[in-house]
Amino acid sequence: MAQASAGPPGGEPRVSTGNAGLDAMLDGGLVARRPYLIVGPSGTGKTTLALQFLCAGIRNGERALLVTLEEPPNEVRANHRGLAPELGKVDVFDAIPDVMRYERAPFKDIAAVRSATPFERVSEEIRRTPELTSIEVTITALEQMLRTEVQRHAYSRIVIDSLTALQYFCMKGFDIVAGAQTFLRYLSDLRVTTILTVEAPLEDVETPERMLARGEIRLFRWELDDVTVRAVGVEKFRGSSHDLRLHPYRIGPTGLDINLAVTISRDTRQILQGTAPLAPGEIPSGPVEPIPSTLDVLNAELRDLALVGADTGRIRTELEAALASARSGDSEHATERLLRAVAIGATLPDHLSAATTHPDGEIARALHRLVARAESSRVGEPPVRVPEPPILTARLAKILSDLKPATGPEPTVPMLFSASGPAPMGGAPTVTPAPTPSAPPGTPTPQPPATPVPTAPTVPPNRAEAVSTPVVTPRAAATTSHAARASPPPLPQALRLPEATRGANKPPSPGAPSRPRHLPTGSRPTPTPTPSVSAPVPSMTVSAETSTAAMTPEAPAPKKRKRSTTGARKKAIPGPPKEPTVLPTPGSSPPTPVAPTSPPPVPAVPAAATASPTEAAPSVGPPADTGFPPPSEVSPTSRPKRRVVRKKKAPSVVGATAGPPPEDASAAPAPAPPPESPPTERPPETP
Amino acid sequence: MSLPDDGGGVRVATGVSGLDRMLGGGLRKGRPYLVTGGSGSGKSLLGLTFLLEGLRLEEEVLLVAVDEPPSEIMENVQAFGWDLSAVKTLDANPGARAIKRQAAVQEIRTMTDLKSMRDISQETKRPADAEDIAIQGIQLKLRQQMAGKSFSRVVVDSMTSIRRFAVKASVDPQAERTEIQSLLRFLSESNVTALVLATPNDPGVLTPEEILTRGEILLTRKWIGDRSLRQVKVVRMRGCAHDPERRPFVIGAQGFVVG
Repeated sequence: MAQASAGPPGGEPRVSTGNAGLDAMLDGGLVARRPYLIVGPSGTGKTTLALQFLCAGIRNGERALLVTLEEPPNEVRANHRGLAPELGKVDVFDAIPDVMRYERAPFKDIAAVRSATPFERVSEEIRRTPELTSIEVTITALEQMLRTEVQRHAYSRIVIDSLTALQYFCMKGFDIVAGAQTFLRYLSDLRVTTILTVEAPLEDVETPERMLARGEIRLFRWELDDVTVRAVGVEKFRGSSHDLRLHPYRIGPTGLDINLAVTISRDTRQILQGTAPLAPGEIPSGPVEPIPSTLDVLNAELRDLALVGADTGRIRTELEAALASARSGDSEHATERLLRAVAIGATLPDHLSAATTHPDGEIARALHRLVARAESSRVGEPPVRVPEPPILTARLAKILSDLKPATGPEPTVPMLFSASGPAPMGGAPTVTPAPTPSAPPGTPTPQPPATPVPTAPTVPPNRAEAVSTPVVTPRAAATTSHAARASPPPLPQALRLPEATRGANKPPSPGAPSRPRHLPTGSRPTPTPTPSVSAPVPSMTVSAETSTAAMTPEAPAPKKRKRSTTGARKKAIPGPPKEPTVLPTPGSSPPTPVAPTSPPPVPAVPAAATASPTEAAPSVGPPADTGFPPPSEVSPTSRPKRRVVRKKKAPSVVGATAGPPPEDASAAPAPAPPPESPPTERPPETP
Repeated sequence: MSLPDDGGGVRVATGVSGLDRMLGGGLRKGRPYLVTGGSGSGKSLLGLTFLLEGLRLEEEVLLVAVDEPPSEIMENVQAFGWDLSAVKTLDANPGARAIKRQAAVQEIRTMTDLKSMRDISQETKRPADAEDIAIQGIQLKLRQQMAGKSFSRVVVDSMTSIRRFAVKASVDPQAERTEIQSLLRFLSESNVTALVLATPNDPGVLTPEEILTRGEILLTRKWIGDRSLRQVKVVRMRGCAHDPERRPFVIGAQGFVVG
């Protein structure tokens, strides 16, 4: 940590901020004896950064003063134990107003009552308002105090935390804008290097103090879907060159850890360069179990449905619509469709449980899982965790290709893929149709819904690749996908849990796999006919259309630009560190993934053995058309997890859990917790 | 619970185990926290869960009820089978306001006493009882009560309403800020862990409680198709290594459960 590196040639040494990364961005450090601002929303680390600045002074043999107006000194110390021992030597002036008495009390000047004390002498407890007097802090009193303290102790570094609190609570009767200006002016007259923190509600609000300060360090916090991005930038720095870019950072125990290797775009908030993964947050090790991805839930659902021989046409339709949306970058719509698919899946077991009592253990288990899942999804909403479009596309394509041959009437399938075969569109030079052996598209036999024959198996290896190949017919795609979007099939009534029922009311008996009581009773019959009725034919035609649409990279109307950019951003996140595991060579033996992938039911299913290799084949293939980077999801190594656990309810499901937890690109800290833990931690209990 | 040790400090369980996990064990004792969320997002329920957890641990807990009259709150939670009768309540619900009398504003402190929930009758206030609330009134009332016993948990439901209803504050925003500062400071000095509930404000406006609270928990609800998705997120949490992600939660028969 360079304390004072040489600044501009001929100038005096710069003042280190105590943060190596920030010093580098500031071209060596701050110019001495000037006021600077650290601006950002609360919770971004302004105080921490400012304390680093003070501690650097202590290390340098200087005297440093913190004037705190928000956080009581005892809490500042407790919150920044990582900055010890230097922090103990920093003086702190508690400028927080007392509790008001709302009655006549002798007025005292804060400068006469309180004085700066080193942090090491701050008590553990919060300071109590004295019984008889109560001090109102005014800005004039503060200025007076600062002047005397600076003269007495020769402080060379001062932090005011925060200017905003000063404006809010200490400028009664002042115009707060003029007050801030005067105060900044006063500070520059003091000739001390000063940092003031400013709470910023919005990232781009121009405030007068920003005009007056000699430099501004800005901390950003953006919410992008599930990920919080923090970035630091030097917005203004008079008299020096400085780094104009934004860099991500994380808050660690010893301060802000700025990653200079990575830049974040101001406009799109994408990562522009650099490859280090974004700071996943402040958590070094994983405290929270990851939530199973919606896709994992769906995949498990589909498998089980197939096992018990239920028709999955409607789910497939939704999935194909989701795939189409994902391909066009519309992850919002894709999410909606996915949720619909989950919802449809959750209604099916009702009829099945009544109809099927099968001796076969596999099927019985699948049924049990289905029921448990349906049960848990009725108690609340399903956990939603949808990966970004590139990954979603790849995984959906995979799920669909696993599914297709078994349940669908066959004729449509070849038609579908013959369309895609001949004319690869411009954007996909990399698609190398792997030497596909003659996996006859017509092999699988359509199953009568009742027969409990496992379905997923026979996938021609070429199919998944075909799915990801772009296709001509942009116009047809446009129309069909519009149609698909315009008229999504209505949800079965039973799914519309009215808010009232969800919020407050009778507990469903947690153990019983039967229908929860709080479902509207009238709604049950509604979905009943659907599974048996949903004729393969209509659903299949729809699917043909939509998946054609899905194959067009420049599919219609990317609804939200923001979404797609975030998608683009996210795809950059899994950087090189992950790369090796992500891309096994196409030649790598297909059977490897079998072990992690195969769910418990497999052994009993005769066809499963053949299924696994083929299922793996597409995933090993070269990354798909659209220029997306290889989605980590697709690789056999990271793909396995088929987590069925969904809620803390339904512990019975846990047994089926296999493999490590799901890992989306968005699963930021996703540690490696025991997958079994969620249910055990909070067993269902009635209050 | 495997969050790294971040310097100790007594943690206060919120009563929602999943949330405690996100917070690395719970809230820090003696600090005020902000819970934001739109109406219907589950703020009040989280607040009540927090209080009930206090009761379970045999602490003294207090609800400052501004949004809803306590009698309604009692009714609302019956579905959960919760017993709120030991929760002390400061009924700061202004009731129907007598519009004509602008002159004689009676502050809440002169009129209202703390009551246990079990004493709250079903009847709502008559307009004649209407009084205005002021933040300082709440603080003074609490001070009176604290003299006898010490509360360890307080929920203010909600700061937004206090601000909206308080007559005095609307006249002078600076006075309002200092009064809120004073109230929160008072709670802190009394070693009270407080949840201040508020609806999210205009993003361009910074409220004093945002500055002064030591952490913020955001509850959101959005609709995806026909399903509503509730999520909870720890926006900031001073001195706590916390989970920065959004987590889904459910309001079900067991109350507030973070998935």
